Amino acid sequence: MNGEYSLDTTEGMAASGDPPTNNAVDDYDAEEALERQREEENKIKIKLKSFEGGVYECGLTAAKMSVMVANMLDALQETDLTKIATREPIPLQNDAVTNKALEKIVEWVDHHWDDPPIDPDFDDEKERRNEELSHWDKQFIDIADQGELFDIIAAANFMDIKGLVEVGAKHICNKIKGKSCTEVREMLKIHNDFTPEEEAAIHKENEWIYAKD
Amino acid sequence: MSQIYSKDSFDRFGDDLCEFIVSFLSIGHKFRFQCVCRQWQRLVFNRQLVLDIDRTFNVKFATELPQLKTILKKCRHIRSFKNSHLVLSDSHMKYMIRYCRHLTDIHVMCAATDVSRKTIKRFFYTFGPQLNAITCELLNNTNDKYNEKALILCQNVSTIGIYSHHYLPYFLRLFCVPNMRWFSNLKSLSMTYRKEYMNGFKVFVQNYAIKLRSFEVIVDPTCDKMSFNILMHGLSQMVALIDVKIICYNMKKSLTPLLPNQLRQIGINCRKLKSLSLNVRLNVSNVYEMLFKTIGHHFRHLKRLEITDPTVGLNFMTGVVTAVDREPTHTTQGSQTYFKVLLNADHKYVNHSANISDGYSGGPVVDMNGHLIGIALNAPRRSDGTFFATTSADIKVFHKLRFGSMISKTNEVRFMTDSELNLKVFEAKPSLISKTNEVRFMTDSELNLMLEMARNSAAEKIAMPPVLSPKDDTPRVLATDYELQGYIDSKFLLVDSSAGYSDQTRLIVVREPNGVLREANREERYRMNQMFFPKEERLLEEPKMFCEPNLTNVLDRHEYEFVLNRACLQYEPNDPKYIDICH
Repeated sequence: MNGEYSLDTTEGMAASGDPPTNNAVDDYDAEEALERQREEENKIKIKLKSFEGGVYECGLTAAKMSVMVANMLDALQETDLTKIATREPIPLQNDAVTNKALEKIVEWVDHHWDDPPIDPDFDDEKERRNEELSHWDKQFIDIADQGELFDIIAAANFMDIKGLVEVGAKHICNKIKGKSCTEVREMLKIHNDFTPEEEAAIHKENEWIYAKD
Repeated sequence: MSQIYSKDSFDRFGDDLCEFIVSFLSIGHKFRFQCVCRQWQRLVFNRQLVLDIDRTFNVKFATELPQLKTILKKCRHIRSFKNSHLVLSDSHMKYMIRYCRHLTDIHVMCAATDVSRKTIKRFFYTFGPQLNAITCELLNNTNDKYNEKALILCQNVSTIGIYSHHYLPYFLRLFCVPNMRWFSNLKSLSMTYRKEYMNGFKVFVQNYAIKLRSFEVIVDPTCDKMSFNILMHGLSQMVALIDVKIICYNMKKSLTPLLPNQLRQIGINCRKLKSLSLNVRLNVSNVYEMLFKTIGHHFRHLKRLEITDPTVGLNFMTGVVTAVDREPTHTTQGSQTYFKVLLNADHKYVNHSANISDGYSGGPVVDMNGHLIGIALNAPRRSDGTFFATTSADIKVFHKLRFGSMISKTNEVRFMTDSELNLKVFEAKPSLISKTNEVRFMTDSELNLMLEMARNSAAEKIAMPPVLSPKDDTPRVLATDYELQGYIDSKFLLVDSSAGYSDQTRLIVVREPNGVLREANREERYRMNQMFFPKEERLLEEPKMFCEPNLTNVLDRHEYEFVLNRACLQYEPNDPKYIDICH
């Protein structure tokens, strides 16, 4: 294919040391193969044990969405993946990982494990900050019991499932949108550690933001 | 920390998690919630990495923005500053220099002319070496040498966007020093291409082509065959390209036949290409067959393809199916809206990642083999709109429905009764709840089912409502205790206010001053109910319109519906007055 260049590009080539590759086709196949492998792996079920002792089953690929679990599995250095299934349940030693929270977390990763991978080449996929929650996520995270909701967020944070923490964070931010500070404090049960003078000072400083709406 | 927080208190979260959670608030809310607690005040701005002036403030070419100083002062971690409408003044620039030490991306479309040279110099000396991306009109118009100097300071940039004709020459001069790469990290470039840049572009290609990953070009209408060829040839040498966008309006007619061949060249050479976007006015539609063939053959691994041509009304784009058989989601990814499609067979939704916007609804969604798999639907926010698309077998129905009837909810009764039930409906009632029209495409069996449902609901709606006979108004006497006579001088009304009783069955009794205990009569019952369990819009006093001669007046004016509605609201259905009015 070098024949198709008519301009002299040797200078640039030498400088970059990165000759044009023809492996896009292989990349494509590799992607598909990876997908199949993920699918196969998810058929292997591993067990997760909550802080309270409840044991929950979860597909391997799904469980690996938790960076912590993935690291623990890597540390086992088990080459035969099917053996992992017969192992002892993986204990999650954090008091936020209650039975209820773990059950919800397993539900979430089970729904999301086959999400298409993020392509770092596209800027808009890298940054999903502005994306609204999907319908499923909204229903999933809409939990009346605040203690349970916070458990899930804290547990997801502990297990390092970034996507789920993000869902929780967006949910909370959506809920407190448009509320006053007092309302937010009441709702999230935050202890106000400002003196009234300090609070008034901040209010004064930010008058413009209140004037806007 | 030794203190144990309760489970449902936000205080239980540590700084890291709290910082992450509050980072999703909008910048306005961040300022507002600073005074929630010290933790929030400390953390709330930490992850504000992007400041998008256009999104935060609704500025339209204003020069003043007094809040900017406060914002810049608070958001010290800003990496990216975006602004296309606010005209940056000298003081704005000074604030940026003073507060935004971490700035790496600048996207500024207009700067005021009063920015002093000294400020610009300081600006580039401060930020130049750390800048990653620059789309910027900050340069001074007058002094060439000076501008070049400023640009040389930004030698680490990887993304450059140049849209104005004034500034391109400076960049080109830097780009075009033979065998010299000032911007050694350059990966992404957006530019306008004109005929006179032809020679400069050649040198640029030699210097930078191999490392470029993203290239966006607006082709000026003045371009002739020679210069256009050089541009496309240059593109085909950027072998590492991932993302290409070519915008050329009003291209010369003689150039269009070249396009497929030139694209073929690009397709063969740029094997890593994932996204191709053509926004063209070819003026000749028969080129498209060639164009699509070329793309089909030589751009096999594209993930995104977008071809737009306003002259022939063509809008074509691709995306990846992100989910099948899930609920319809409204996922916005930046400016990107997903296809939401419902397959009719198993009621499956297909979520699609193509970049569709308003006006694409109703367009076909086609799979790799050219089979219609659904209809694009760009659902508005919070809509739970159902949408039916057909599989290819039902395209006939699809055509018929698409150009034929639209069944809207409000007209449903009328539409169906007219044609199906042969019953007369005098007036279609306007619905208070505005309901968006639903257009559905469905198979015959589904259509029959829907018709059946509509018929039933129509029959229900025009059925005669049941009539109650007037209630006897002589109250039952429960007890007569004459011993109580003389102690009180007014009636006592006792109301059982426990839940679960209707206005009709609620126990309301009256103790008369003469000691008689009896059930309340109609009027007393009505007053008590309205007092303790008020119905909205129901008046305590009898409305004047129901008294003669007003009632006759209204009826003479044929405002039957108004009277009926009002009466339904005011009276219970077994009230003698109601029956009196309605018969």
